[in-house]
Amino acid sequence: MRVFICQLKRIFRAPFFLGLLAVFLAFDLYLVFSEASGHKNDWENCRRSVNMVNSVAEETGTKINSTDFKKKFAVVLDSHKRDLKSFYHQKTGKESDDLSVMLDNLEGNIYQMTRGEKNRLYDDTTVLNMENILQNRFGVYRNTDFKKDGETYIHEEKLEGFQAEFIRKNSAALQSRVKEIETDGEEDELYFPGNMCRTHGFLYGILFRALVFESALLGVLIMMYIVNFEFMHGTQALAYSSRRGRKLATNQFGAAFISGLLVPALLMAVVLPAYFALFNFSNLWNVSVSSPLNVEMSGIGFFPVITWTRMTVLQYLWATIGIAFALQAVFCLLAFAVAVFFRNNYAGFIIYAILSMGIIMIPERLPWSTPLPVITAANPFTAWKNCGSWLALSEPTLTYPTYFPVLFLLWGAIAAVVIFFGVRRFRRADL
Amino acid sequence: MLTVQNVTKRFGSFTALEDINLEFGKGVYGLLAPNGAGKTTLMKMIVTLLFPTKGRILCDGKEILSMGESYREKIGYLPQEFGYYRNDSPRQYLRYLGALKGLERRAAEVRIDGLLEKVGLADVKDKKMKKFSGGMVQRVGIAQALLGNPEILVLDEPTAGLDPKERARFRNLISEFSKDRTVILSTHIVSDIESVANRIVMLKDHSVYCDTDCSSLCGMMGGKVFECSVPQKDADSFEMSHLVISRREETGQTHFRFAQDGEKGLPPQAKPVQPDLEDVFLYIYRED
Ligand SMILES: Nc1ncnc2c1ncn2[C@@H]1O[C@H](COP(=O)(O)OP(=O)(O)OP(=O)(O)O)[C@@H](O)[C@H]1O
Ligand SMILES: [Mg+2]
Repeated sequence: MRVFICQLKRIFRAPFFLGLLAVFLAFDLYLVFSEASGHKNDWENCRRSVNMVNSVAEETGTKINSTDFKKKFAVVLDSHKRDLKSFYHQKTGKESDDLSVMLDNLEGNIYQMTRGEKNRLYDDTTVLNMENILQNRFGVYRNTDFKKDGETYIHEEKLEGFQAEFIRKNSAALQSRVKEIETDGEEDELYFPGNMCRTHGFLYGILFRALVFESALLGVLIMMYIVNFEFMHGTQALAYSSRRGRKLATNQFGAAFISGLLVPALLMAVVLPAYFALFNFSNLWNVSVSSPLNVEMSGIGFFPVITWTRMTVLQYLWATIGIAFALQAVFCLLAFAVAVFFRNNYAGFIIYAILSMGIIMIPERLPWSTPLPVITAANPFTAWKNCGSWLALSEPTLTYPTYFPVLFLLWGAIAAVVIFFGVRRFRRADL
Repeated sequence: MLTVQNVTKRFGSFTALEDINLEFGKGVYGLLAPNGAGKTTLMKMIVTLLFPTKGRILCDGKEILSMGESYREKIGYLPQEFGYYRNDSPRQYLRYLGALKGLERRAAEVRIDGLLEKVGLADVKDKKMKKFSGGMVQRVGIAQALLGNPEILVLDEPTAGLDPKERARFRNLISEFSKDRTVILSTHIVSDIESVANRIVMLKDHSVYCDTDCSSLCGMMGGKVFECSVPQKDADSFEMSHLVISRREETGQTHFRFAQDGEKGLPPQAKPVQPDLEDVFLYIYRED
């Protein structure tokens, strides 16, 4: 236990650990704050939009199709329309009923507006845009035919056998999931409109991608630092001939693994509360993430979010956090495996980096005439790259419901085997 | 009692040690052999850092590799080369190693202070080790080896880098410590061994050449070591034809100490002298 605590202390006192942790935290907070203050252009402010949609939801509830919602939304809409009109009158001295005329004229004025005036304009336009978005939300799902897309893909790639079946099966499953979304009411749930708010794309596609990357980097560095500590300091002859002997590696692994998992916990504990303090989700936690409003045409792509089963916003967040921790565990295990094999941090780290980049690049280079692209794509590095589309529609090789179970079984097994042989070799290695 | 039984160690195709058989009881054993003879290799096998290719090492009849912690807690080891954590003080360094050795924290604290005193580092015990000289680091290493109060102490060239005063201090420390214990120390500095070791083990051609006490080793050379003076002009040809141990220039004469089997061709002025360990070393490891 004392040896274990010694190792923990070493990690927490290591300059690289504290330094990188501070840099990463600063960077993530910068991401969050710039998203929050970010005016993608002078006409949009996604933080105000998010908070506006959330407060509308407080009034209206989240069932778009209910008469209650329609009635209450009409009231909200009306008040914002009137507000815009009076604002328009105040700014230009003119009267108009035409929304686009008002906005066109105000646009020219926006640089002379005070912050308060701008905010008033953002809030009004958010609600007015919502009306439009709510009415046109069906297009997203009703116009897609995944089965047909799948067949086209199969035809273009000249797929046969396993691959053709794989694509066919998954596009059929997607199509029936889309049908489910249409029928079980998910289609009628209010969510932050993707184009206006960019919540999903930012939170998962950018913020979580950064968090997972930073955690992995730090976790891997910690693991290598501590497992090879004695070798890098030339103290191996002392440490491994002591009573503790080579079992020291067990303490080192334990300490590094626990601190490795602590890293995402620390980062998330600061960054996520900061994000949700600025972007208020309070009334939309229980809507489905597969709502057709959750479509972004920029950022991570044109994909709607279609999860394999119905998941609420909160469930999706927790699932993402869970997967992030599980991935972190795999990254740390692999780092341990590399560290015991190479016993040198510089070599080990470079090999790890090359390996991870290689593994990301392999799947798309393998011929579709074999099942290899699918199997190789189930790896933690590709999963990281695919952050934002987890548990949902994504690239063909990643789009099947059991992607994560397959990934964790496969890579858990790979890590276990490599570690088993690495440890066995280490036990009988000449030091 | 430590028994090395038919131990062979190969590195790839290179054989470092071949069929070594040795017994270490109580007392100080001096491992005396030239560079590259395999002293470090043998010691690393004794402290379980290396594994014999063949044969086994027993401690009180039990194979050391199967004993695990119960064996390693008996040993103290000073490696020939070792690193340290640059920003640690000797005290912090010893504390960590004490934890690895499984010492109780309080007892370790007392022992660390005592040992640092004994190796003459009491006044720098809280200074960072990166500011230490080579000899100071070596003394921290010696303290570290003694930390667990080991029954078996293995010291690989413990006096390397120590000045004469520190060497003397070290010899006293070892004599004091070695009562009822096994101390194995390697060196190629003959004078270190002469004064402390009860037994001398010599390795030659990857095998044990001899395992005996100092006086019988020197006795082995009895009547084989001579001294004589030769005129300076004949000195070089004398050196070519004799096994010279040492050569000293005096006025007009060169004084030789040399070894020779039998009296054949012995210069008439040569006088037999009492052989010492250095003579033995040079005689045994002469280049034929
Ligand atoms: N890990 C290794 N791999 C290959 N050869 C090795 C290894 N360790 C030692 N050797 C070889 O084994 C022989 C014995 O080395 P060892 O270090 O035991 O000698 P030594 O008696 O301690 O020498 P010195 O007096 O210089 O310390 C040397 O020839 C060395 O080159
Ligand atoms: Mg050596």
